[in-house]
Amino acid sequence: MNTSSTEDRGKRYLNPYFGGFLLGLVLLATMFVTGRGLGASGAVKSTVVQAVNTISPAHVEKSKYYSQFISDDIHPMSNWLVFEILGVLAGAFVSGALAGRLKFKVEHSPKITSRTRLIMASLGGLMFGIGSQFGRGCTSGAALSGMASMATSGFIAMMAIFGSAYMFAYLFRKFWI
Amino acid sequence: MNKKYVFLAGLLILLGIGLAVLPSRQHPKETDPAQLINEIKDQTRFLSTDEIARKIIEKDPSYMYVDVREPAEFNSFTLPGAVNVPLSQLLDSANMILLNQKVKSVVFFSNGDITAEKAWLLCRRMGFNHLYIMQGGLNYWIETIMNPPVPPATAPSQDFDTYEFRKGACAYFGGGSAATSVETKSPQQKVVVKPKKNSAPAAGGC
Amino acid sequence: MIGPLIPQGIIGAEWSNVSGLVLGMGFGYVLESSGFSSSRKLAGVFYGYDFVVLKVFFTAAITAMVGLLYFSYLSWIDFNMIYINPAFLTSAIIGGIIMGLGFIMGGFCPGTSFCGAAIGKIDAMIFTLGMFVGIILFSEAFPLLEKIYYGGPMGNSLVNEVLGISQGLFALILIVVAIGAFIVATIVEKRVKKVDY
Repeated sequence: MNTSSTEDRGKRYLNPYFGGFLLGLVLLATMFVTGRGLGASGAVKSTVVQAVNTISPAHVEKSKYYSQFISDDIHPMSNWLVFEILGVLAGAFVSGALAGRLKFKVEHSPKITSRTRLIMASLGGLMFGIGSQFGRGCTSGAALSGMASMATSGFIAMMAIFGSAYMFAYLFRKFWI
Repeated sequence: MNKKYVFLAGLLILLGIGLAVLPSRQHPKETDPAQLINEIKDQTRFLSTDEIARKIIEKDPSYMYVDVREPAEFNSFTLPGAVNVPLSQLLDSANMILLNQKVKSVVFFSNGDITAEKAWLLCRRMGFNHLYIMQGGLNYWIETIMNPPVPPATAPSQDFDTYEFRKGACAYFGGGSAATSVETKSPQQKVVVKPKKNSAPAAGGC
Repeated sequence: MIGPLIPQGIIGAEWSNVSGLVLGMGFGYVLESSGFSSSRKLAGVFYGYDFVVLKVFFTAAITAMVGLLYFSYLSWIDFNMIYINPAFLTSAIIGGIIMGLGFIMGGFCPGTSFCGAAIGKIDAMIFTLGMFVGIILFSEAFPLLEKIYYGGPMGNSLVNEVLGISQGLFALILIVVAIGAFIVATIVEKRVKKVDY
């Protein structure tokens, strides 16, 4: 467990409204520069498609899903998202470093074990991998950027994700509180 | 702390009211003229009469055929299943909704292709997508599908395949006597079906 | 009309990737600084002990939306060129439900999992791996899922059009709703048992 002094130091977070304001500015800048919003799941998808393409291009061609994203004129956004994610990693690292939050750990509620937490994290990721394809984006891409651009898909995604999470929250309360 | 938030909330609401009240800038969606010229040059908007005949016969649901001539001409002869949107009424709101297709592809046609081109250009300028033109119009349709010309004996096998297809299409579309009179000449030439050239190179080694 | 810059060729496409990097850094920095690298902080919005997700999310969406609309009014940006994610009602709802489940189980979403991974959170890294697998599973099973994926097409629908009001009015309504949500969140946070993380 962490000593209390590290915990205090690690909790120096921005005021959430200010953080939201800054995030909104970043999003606005992104739309101003690229005409599209931010994204996250898209980068993972691009990486998956590229990886599968490297291992077996024939499979990509045959697959009805992969083939949509690989073509002679690959949409420039697929590269852009990957660079964006690299930036995200770097930016988060810097922020964490400045605030003294860099530490390898499995963060979990004291009522469950690390192992349980890791299993849940992997399942959660699995769900998000599947769900983000149906939703054509995740909370950053579809919901956040969608809402800012007033896309109906953004609001639907937002309401579905948060609504569903609230519904399931009671079931999983033992894992968090 | 609380006063600060109240102030910020108030500011935000003011901004919102500003947005609600300001007249919205009308930015009608228009295709950039330079891009239009490129599209005019590259000719990808043309579909041949053969392609269209095939699509109609196969009942391809993703295509819609728009006759841009006046109603009198539309009623006397047109493509099966076509809708009539006379050029003079192109900008009517009902027609605008019909032509601004996000689901189907629109194929304009007229007697030649000049009127169809005009319709294409106007709609394309307004930013509509999936727009095509039947190359040669109904005149060419009659020349190729309704009265398919018989290829000379020296023509490549492909031309005979096209001719066979057109004969079938002609019958499908109710070609009438004009077609049958041509048909009688063909059986002798039909024999000259050369073996497909494609098969040889594909055989390949291991 | 100045923006968007890259689609209009004002900045060459070569700068596109650099812009991604820089903007991404801003994204990551702000997310991490707001605490989005902690799964327990993120899950707090669903149990009432930490509403950071609600506050940041709503504020960001409103800031960007208001900014976008004012930019559009001042002709600094051509709103028509902004990419609108196509709406497929059935697919979006199903995707949202699955993602919601993933959120409450994993405590992360893709963007925040990268933030968490960047500062060493192992659960975040595992989450990211899970995502890869999930996408592969989806792609392989696609022929079965195709119908749902294309279900309920609404095209590039804008929410204010669906509601039949102007964009400005919608923004105002959203602002009011958000402020209401913030007030409720503050009240709830004061009453819920503190969780030590």
